[in-house]
Amino acid sequence: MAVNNDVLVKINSLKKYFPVRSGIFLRAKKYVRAVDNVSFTIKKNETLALVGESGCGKTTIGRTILHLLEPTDGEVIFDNKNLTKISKDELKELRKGMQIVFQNPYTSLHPRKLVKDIVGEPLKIHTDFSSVEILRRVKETLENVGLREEHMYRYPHEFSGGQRQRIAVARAIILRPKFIVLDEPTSALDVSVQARILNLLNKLKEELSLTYLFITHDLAVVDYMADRVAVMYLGKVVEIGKKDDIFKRPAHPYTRVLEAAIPIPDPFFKKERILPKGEVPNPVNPPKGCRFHTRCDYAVDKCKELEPQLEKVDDEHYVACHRWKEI
Amino acid sequence: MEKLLSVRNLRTIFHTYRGVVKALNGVSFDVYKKDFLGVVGETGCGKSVTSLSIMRLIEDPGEIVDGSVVFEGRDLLKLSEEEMQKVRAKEISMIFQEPKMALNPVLKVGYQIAEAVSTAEDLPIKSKEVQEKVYEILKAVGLPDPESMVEKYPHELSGGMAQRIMIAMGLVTKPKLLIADEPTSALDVTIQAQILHLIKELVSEMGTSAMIITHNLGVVAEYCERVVIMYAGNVAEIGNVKTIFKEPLHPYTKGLIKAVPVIGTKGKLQTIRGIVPDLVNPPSGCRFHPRCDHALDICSKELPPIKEVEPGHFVACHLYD
Repeated sequence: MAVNNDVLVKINSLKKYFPVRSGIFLRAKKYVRAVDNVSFTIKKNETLALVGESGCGKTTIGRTILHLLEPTDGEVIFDNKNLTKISKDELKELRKGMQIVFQNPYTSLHPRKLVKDIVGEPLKIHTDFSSVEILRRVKETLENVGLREEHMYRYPHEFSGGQRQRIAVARAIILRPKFIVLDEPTSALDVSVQARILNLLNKLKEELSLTYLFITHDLAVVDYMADRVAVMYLGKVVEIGKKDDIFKRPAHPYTRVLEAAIPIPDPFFKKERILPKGEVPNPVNPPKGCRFHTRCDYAVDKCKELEPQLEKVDDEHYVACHRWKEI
Repeated sequence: MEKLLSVRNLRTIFHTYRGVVKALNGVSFDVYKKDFLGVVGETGCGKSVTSLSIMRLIEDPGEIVDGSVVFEGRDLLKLSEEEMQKVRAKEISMIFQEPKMALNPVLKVGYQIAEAVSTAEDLPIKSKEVQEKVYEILKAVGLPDPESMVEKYPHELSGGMAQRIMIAMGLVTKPKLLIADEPTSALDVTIQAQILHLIKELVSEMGTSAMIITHNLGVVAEYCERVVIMYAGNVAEIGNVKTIFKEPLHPYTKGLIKAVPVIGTKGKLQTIRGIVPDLVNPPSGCRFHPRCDHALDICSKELPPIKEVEPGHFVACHLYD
């Protein structure tokens, strides 16, 4: 593979299937195809947003990229190294460069550890710094995320949701990673707190030259944070492109439905009035052909038989739909 | 506009081991006939407690200590439990956030809807009339094939279907007011759009008023006509949705609207400093004053009363005295 210096993360035909075990021997008879043949790249210093409804596989992709989940098939290339082909020790080394912030700051922090130990743990695992040096760095990192030295000696339950999320962000940046997966980092927070966390994430991205994979279902947040957007439906990327392409010139019928369905906090914002049809099918038995055809207003016979592949619409704008030119 | 429900100076408290949580601190607002009202605020602002207090569903250790809830000329807080049951059965319906937890898991959904009809109309549950009404409402909420739907148990339904059943149960008695407490927060966005459209369509057909409790300003902006903004157990501002988004008056409303990114937001998001107060020891006077950039001396001393500054636009803030 050609070395490309602009690209930090590249995934190729990534698949992640979860077995559904049943019967007395608990044999896997069926699989949930949470991520099914997904490829995309994330460039250095950009924020790629991954949007879609629950169960579309967006969280699974984030975790599979970090190898918190072993992919069923396909490759993940991080910083020009193929994560699927390296040893455990090499993976541990690479893990320093990639971190994650989870959705729920009430469950992602160890309740019986002090903040200094939670934030300092990555340093303990990955470096041989002295405990004095670790404390110094924890203090510095907490200041970076807007917390104070005195917070080091407290437990997570003493903090509000927004402060806990700051602790989780501090833990993620203390190793000076290149790449952070943000898995719905503000969905559990109130709006006035969300604004502060989003501002913090943008500030850190600048200061530390970070690259983000931002997983969310809030389109206004996507518009505010992202450079590019990938839209997922039932384990597939159906459309990917620059933010403006996705918002101003959406090519996939699902992207349009999703944009119409998500309420925008602005009563003067004019948007297409499309009411989504039906419900998301069971991912154990996804529809044949285009997975969206059962809910699509434009579906023809071809859509029921043949699975559409990503086609180029424009520079960096790709869509997987047989009829995007006509609709 | 004609008033359907007037909440005045409502105070609800909860006795906890940490002390008394003053959850509602004198809440006042009106719901008009054919209203589509949103009640919005952040966690702990008292929006759910308000709806539960209206329905008198506050249980020990909670207690409604003051105020009135006048519904069509009667103060609901003064009714006997039996009379209140009748109000809940026929006149005010409520639907909740988690439809699957609100349904009885061991009864078929058809029976649960029929029960609502038979209680409200005083008809035998097995009568033909009841059955017809059940079929009719199931079609109205967009559930095809009512004959097989009535035989299903709640676990056989998806979240969206379960919420449709809840709406069917709530509207089958043709109530005068439907209270929906975060009706779509547990659902996917495409299903959320379907459910909110459905509620809006059905209540306008029936001439029912709706009160939607939500934390989502997007839901308010897209679906509601009027909105009540709550903060820490008080009403901060009431008005027409477009007016509130365009010309908010209360500093909290202003901060809240600027804190949410909308399509096209550039630059840093504005934030509200500080955090939501602990309602065991709420700040004196206006509960928002410690976080307010415009606070005056009086703000820490006196709770601002809510007053009408323009027709239909109410605000509780000393800046508008």
